[in-house]
Amino acid sequence: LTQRPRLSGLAQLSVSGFIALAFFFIGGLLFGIGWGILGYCPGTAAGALGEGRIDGLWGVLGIFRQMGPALFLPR
Amino acid sequence: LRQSKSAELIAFGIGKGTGLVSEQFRFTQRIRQGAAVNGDKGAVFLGAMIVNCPGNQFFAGALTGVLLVLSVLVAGHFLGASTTFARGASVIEKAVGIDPSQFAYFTTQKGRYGPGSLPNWQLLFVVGIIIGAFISSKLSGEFKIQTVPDMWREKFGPNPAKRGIVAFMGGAIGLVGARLAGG
Repeated sequence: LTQRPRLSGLAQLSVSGFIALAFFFIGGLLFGIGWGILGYCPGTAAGALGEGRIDGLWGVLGIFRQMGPALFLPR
Repeated sequence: LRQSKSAELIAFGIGKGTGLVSEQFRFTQRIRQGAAVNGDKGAVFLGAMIVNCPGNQFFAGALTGVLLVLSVLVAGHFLGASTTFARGASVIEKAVGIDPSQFAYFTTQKGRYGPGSLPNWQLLFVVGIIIGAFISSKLSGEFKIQTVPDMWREKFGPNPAKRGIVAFMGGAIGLVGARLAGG
């Protein structure tokens, strides 16, 4: 019973406390909603772009808007 | 992973079938020629051919699962794309003269998400997705410059701006979620 699987340590889940769990929950929901609206996950948005689907690019720009807010602010 | 195309494939099943026959001949030729020059390239073409067959989305999905396991075992990284976009945003900010360190996210964990974190393994993975999608769609003849996906056009009309705005919002919301959940 004490023997650990060979691959243990490769992945770890560190959920400490209610708040972290709530972030997982809300974040997962938001990710799904965004995925549904965009129609691609971030990875497949890149793939869509490679296939000539320009709308993947707008999705990627939306991602940049969120992560690099200063890019879209007037200076 | 992507918008399902099964309905479309059923509707155009006959047309697609004939198209694929000639495509397969083309692939065979390419593989033969390719193998003479470079054996590795033959395998890539063969893979693209198998994955792009109609109805094989499930097979491709299973392959993605295998790829995830392999990427952890071989490279020691979980495959993913969203963090690369977050890091990319900091690189772009820096490039256009904005100090990314004014945002706590880019300085946390010793700049793990800041502009200094690129280039890295995951960036190459994302670039690989774009190149791979381009090659495989070119090989299967599915490459098409398209501003509005077919399914969107059927339901919401052909206006590219409408699709663009919604896609933009979807990308923004999705990334908030990914960052919140630490993905």
